[in-house]
Amino acid sequence: MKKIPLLVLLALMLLTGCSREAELTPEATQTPAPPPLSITYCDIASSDLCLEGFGQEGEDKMLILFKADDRSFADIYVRVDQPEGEVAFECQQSKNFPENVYCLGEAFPSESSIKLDIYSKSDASLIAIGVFIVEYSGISAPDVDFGIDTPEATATGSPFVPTSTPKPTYPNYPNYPNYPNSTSTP
Amino acid sequence: MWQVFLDGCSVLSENWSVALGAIGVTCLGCGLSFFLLRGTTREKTIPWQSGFLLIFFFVASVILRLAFVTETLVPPYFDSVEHFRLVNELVTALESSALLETIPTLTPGYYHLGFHFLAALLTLGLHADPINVILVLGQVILAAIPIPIFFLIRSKTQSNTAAYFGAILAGFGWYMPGFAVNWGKYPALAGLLVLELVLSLAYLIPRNKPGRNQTVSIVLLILWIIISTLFHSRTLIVIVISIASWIAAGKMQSLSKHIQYLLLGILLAAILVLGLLIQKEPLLALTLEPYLDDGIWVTLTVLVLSLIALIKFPRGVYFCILFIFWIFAALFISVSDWLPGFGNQTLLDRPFVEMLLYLPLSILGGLGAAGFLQFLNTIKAIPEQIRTSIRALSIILLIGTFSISSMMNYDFYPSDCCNFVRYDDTIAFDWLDRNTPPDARVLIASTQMHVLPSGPSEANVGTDAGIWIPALTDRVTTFAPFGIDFRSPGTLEGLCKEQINYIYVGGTDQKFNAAQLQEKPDWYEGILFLPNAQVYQITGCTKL
Repeated sequence: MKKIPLLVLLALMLLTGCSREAELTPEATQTPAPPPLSITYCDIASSDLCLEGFGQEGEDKMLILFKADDRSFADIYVRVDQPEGEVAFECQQSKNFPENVYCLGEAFPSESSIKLDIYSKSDASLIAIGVFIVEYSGISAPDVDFGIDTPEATATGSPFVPTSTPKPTYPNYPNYPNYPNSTSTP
Repeated sequence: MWQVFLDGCSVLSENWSVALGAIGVTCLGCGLSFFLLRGTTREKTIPWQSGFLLIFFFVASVILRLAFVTETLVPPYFDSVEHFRLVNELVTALESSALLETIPTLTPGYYHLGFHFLAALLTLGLHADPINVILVLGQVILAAIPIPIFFLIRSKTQSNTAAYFGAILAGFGWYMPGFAVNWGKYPALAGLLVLELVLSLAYLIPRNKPGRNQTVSIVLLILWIIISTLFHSRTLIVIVISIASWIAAGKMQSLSKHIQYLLLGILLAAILVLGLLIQKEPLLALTLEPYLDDGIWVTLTVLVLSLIALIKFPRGVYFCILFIFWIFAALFISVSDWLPGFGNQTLLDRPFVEMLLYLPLSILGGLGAAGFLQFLNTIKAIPEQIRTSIRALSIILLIGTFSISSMMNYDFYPSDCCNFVRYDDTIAFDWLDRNTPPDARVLIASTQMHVLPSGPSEANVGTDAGIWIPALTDRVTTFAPFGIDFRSPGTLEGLCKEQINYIYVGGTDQKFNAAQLQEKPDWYEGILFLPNAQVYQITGCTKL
């Protein structure tokens, strides 16, 4: 019987920890209220809505990549303030990953500073703002001047031999290097 | 650790229905079997405090394990695409009441659908996303793996402390079997859990009270063996190994001490030789890595405890050593001679043995811990009070220190090795879906698999997120080695001949060389550039 208080304490710790976390989860947050959120890059501070980066479609279109952990921020459109006027970006939620949102519009030169005004599609209210430098970091588009990481394994190329039918076949049980351990490289 | 707990809670609160469903189905089968056996064996009932602690341990493990899901968009590695497809097709079959017609067409020759069937039932019953179901169910199964080990060790030793120690070893002692979720080895993990249940039941049945009807117990055991095979067919081999090892261990124990130790020496020498052979062969060397590299101190602790276990529980130790011997030997026994349809496969494969080694080692650790605690009780020269203090200190050291240090050093998050799909890939998939014709063919990176060191490669597997394109966009894909030379005219000719329209470059190390694609702008036009995913359109076919 002496153990009862200890066991109850353990159970309470578990429940308290989870309930505290539940309070922090998106479901528990209130709908956004004015003033608009100030957003930043997701790798700096992940929040309800954050910027993952920029991409390019062909040579003249730009993608602005958002992550909306709070789904109420996912249905959006973006306006970019420019001295020449505003440029609109249409946004799409990824079909299978609706928290991932990308907006397509006119490309801005690399290193240019842009102010993003993010509006809710449902009521056209301004829900978030942010100022960013356009950086196509890591992107190997032909008109962007930077190199791509080339894996060592690809240094020696081989001619193309098609090796598969349209649907992937279930593999036989394979071995190294197909199943790397945590300390080994794939 | 606190962050892991918070992340786990976050996943739990977002997927509470799937998590509860997964916990329900995991516990139902196991709980029901032990409930039916209740009162039939000579086992002492577990005190409610210990039962409560066990439930606490399981729930805490579930929460910690769920932290894995915070950093995974889809189940990891290439196997998981197939799991997703099978679950989806089973859901469709269940909805249209065409299960019996569908099963033979799912994947000819591949028959362990237990995990997929369970995931499909949960998906259908909870109206959940199959991706979430696979991810959450996998983590719950992983959290449940230490529980039967608790019961096995407790049955053998009657020590709750030793049983907890063994369970902690099984869950967090080494990075296996938990790391196998990074390989998408969900059926194998589910198979391990059911295998442990089979071993627990098989151990309990001969201990039935005299005069009790054994029929229920034996029917239950046979049922679980069938279920185990449906979850992962190789568990049947392990069950045979286990039964043979247990019988042989019994025979060994009945021999004189000298002969016992002689046989033990021979067995250890054979394991050493097999271990050296495994280490010598690059394709197999990874088998022992979790237990020798990061886990060396845990393994050494188990080895020291095994010496104590040998005195108190010789049959259990002989069983574990025979078990290790046979699973090592199974890596070298080819099945091609008597099962021609299975190519170059061996009785057990490297990943499965690597996942499985925790089982005998955890049992050895638990038996050793029980032996050590029993040994403390037998020292009559020490006064009772001091003995109790030493015992309490030992328990704190064994369970407290060991579990805390194990969990602190444990990586609950996905490994970079195998997490194919990242944020950029999800955008690229959606973009492909909206911007390419439905009959578009996409080239994706792959590599060859090897089953045996000397055997030929038997299949190709995807090496980046491109492998998910058919499942998530309905576009047709074709594999090509990730090291393909896109500057070669022969390559372009081959691509055009295969009527491939697009090339997908993912974000893993083993992706296509985008620099080569950019060197040939007349052949390949870049149409989507994200920091870690790119799509190129093949435009050079008209110029051939």
